[in-house]
Amino acid sequence: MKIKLLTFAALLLTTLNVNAAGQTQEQGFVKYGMEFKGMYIQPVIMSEMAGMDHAAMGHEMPMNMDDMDHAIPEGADIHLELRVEVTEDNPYSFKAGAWMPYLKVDYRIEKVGTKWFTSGSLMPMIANDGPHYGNNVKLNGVGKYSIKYRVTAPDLMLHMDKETAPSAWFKPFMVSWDLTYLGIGKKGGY
Amino acid sequence: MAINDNSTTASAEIEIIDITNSVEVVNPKAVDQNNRLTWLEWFFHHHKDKLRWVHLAMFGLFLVLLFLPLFLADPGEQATPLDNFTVFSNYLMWGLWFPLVFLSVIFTGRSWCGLLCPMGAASEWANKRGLRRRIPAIIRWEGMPIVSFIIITFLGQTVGVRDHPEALAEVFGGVMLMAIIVGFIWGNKNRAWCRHMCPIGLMLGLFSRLGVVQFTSKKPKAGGDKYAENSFCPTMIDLRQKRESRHCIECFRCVNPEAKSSVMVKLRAPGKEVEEIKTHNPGAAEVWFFLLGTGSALGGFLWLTLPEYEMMRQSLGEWFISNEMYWVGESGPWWLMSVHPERREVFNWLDFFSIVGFMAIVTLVFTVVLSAINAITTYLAQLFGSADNFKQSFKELAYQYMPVAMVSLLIGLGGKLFEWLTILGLDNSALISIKIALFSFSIIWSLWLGWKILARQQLKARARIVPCITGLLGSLFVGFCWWPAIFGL
Ligand code: SF4
Ligand code: SF4
Repeated sequence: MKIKLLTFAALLLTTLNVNAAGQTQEQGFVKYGMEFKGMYIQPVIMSEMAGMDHAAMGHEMPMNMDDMDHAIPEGADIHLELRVEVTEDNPYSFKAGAWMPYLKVDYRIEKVGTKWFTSGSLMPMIANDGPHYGNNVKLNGVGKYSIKYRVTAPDLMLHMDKETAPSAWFKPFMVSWDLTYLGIGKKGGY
Repeated sequence: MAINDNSTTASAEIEIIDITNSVEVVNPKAVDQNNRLTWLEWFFHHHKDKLRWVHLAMFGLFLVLLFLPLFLADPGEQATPLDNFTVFSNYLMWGLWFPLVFLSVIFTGRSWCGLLCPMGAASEWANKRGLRRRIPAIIRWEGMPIVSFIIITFLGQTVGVRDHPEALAEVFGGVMLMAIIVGFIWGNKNRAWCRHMCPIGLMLGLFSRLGVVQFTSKKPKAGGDKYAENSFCPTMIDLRQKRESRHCIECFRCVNPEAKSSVMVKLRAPGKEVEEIKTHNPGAAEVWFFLLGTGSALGGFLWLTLPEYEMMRQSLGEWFISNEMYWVGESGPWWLMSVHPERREVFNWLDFFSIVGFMAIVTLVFTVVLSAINAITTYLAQLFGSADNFKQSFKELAYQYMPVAMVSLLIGLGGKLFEWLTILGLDNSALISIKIALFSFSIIWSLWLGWKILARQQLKARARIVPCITGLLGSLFVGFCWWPAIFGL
């Protein structure tokens, strides 16, 4: 018991890096001129459900929402996100810090120590802190989860000529992240 | 037996309440009639029989405000108090009722209690029909309303009393129910609940000591206020010695402008009773309330604002999970914690422990730091020749924090008042200016009270300067703690 308490005290001291606005992957994963960061917040209401509110707020409705499944799945536990920021030396001449659009992001979540898993894809969307890929996800109770994101290059036309082609385009790859889910908690609390 | 007789058996047992160390001798002939509000006395003397209708109306209004929202559909995300009843009722309670009633003690004392409060009236109504048992010592214990205040503040946070109509109904319905039950069982033609247990009454009573209205005996006997279980007064004040505001609910029953020896209503300078707290029963329980009550209200605010709360919750949770205690992920009963998945808020035992633990830590830290500062002030006062002993001087000096504590509670618990002001068109910077002005004013007032209290301890003007500075440090500490509430982080 003593040891347990000690480890607990140590944990208290070592977790001072948790971001106040959601639980975030501590270290970003940098690849192909982009930095990827997994994070989650509480389930959010997304535009399909909040269309009326957007209209009331005087916003334009997005044009192409019809074919996207944006409702909160029954009893969603988290809003899973992947933040993508272009780095300084990216080969596409994005401004550093910009969001990379048109990526295809799929996820697979496994509950550590069990056979439980779930999968799906993240949608591009925008919140008050900028654009990201995200979706509401139902988990299987509190515990440790391992998350894998599969990132596929944008389905975009490319310049192919020698003079103006960007220097690299990438094959699908994985970004992984472990999180400890502890329950929905206070609305707007994290 | 005269109805307002202070029976000796009652007063012998209740010596905790009569802790007047220094007794001011009042000469009856010297009691002046200046600033007496005779017209007010006449008005209420003639109309007090109609108060029951006011109480009945308030009772109905409370029931509607608290319970009607439970039967309505959830308000939308953008609903405002002007287009949704549930939001309206929430704004009315937290944005108007709480802050206005709280502020009113400065101008009219505990008038809410005696004139309007449906809970107290219900308690007394039940008492008339009840068992009329003698009030047991545990209820008379002065710490009782502090305990109920702390329970309410903590429970308020775990059930989300500021967000969910169910929680609002639970907390206020609970107070009402307790008031009725206590009234039904204990006390004889009085309000044991209001005198001994009500957390709202405690807060209003304490801060009404700063107020400008005073009910005072026309022919006061020497000795300061006394408790009298058989008194005609519903909160069991010995009417012949009545001066203090703390327990007087302003029911006007003892007021008769024609009688020679009843109670009269007077205006006084704000803060007078606290300046002279030395002769007005400074109580250890009241000092505990400034510390613990303000601390827990602060805790109820800070867990929502400080990122340290999330860190604590995460670390605690990871510790539970790594020890395979998965039950922390289960939710407890609805009356103990907020479980509203449809509103995207679900507390489990981890949330419950984290909130209660965090608030307890804040309460403790606040209490320890402010009492340490006050102990230093007291020590300095002793050094510079205070006429009181350390304990007495400590108690008296703690009263200087009343104005800052009051503004803290107002901004912390009654912050929604400022949201009404936003609806009226004030912008955020104007609100911050108002809050800063309120806080600065309270700090200056606290400083002034400290000065006056020290003067009563026979300190010469020059000797008061140093203890006043440490006193000011205490007020600034309170201000610092509420910084996130005023400016955000
Ligand atoms: S003490 Fe409490 S219940 Fe009694 S009148 Fe005042 S607020 Fe109401
Ligand atoms: S002192 Fe008079 S006005 Fe005050 S509560 Fe007692 S009876 Fe009512």
